[in-house]
Amino acid sequence: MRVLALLSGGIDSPVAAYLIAKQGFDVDLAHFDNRPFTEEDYVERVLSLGRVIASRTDRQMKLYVIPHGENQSAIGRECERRYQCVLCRRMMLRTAGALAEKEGYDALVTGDSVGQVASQTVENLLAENSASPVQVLRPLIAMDKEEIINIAKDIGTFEISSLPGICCMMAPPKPATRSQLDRILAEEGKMDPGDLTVSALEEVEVHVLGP
Amino acid sequence: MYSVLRSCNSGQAYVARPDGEFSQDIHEIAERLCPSGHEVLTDAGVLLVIRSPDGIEYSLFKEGKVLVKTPDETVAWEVVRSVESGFDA
Repeated sequence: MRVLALLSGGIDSPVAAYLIAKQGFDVDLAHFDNRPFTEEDYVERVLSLGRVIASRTDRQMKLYVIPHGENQSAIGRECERRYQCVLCRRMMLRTAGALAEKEGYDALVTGDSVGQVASQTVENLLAENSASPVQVLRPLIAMDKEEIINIAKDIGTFEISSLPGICCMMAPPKPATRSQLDRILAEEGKMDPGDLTVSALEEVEVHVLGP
Repeated sequence: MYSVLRSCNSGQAYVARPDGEFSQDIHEIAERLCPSGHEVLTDAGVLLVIRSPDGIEYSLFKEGKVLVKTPDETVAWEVVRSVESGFDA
């Protein structure tokens, strides 16, 4: 089964990609490039993480780098601020899902772990799910942070993921933690997610990593 | 308007928050700064990403916060002071 694992640059998503690859899934990676709302060289960190995962699983992987800055801007301009994170994550699932359908992947993989951050409550995850046209696998969903960190240290991604970095500037001061889908859909209706997805997919860069 | 500058956890940026209540319009501030060489790179509604005349990128948030992408405190202060110069008296 071919899956597309979302790689953020943080601690969790490389572990999720690694674990799913170890289960025998054929894994490629996708990163949403958050510039200008992060450092200019952040993609380099993600490429390094991708190389470690490819090396540790002894396979060649593609890493799709998908522009996400305009998505973030559109949400910031049009939508209620506290929904920024949920709407951002819906845009990522929608766009990665469209890429998955186009390139023949059966599912997406994310590093979500329930309750870890404001955007990863059960309510928010439910409100995010419907954006993806393909199944979303979450291998870390019930793991605690220490377990995830230990695996990250074992596979050699922890040091890269822990490098200093500017937090996402678009994160609102008080993010919604119990989003309801009907409200989220109303907010999303203020912009044009379909057009944004098409635009982002026109600008995808593909890197080939590993042996 | 700004008297404290804090290093971001990353060490790659500095953040200044307004001392009191902030009631300025960030788009109007940007308009006043543009003639002196500031360039708006991105308008995300709740924040503007701007490049200073010296090429330093900074973000001006709706609530008045300024995040300057530099590890150099002196440079960050210069940018913050230039932002203040665009405030409506």
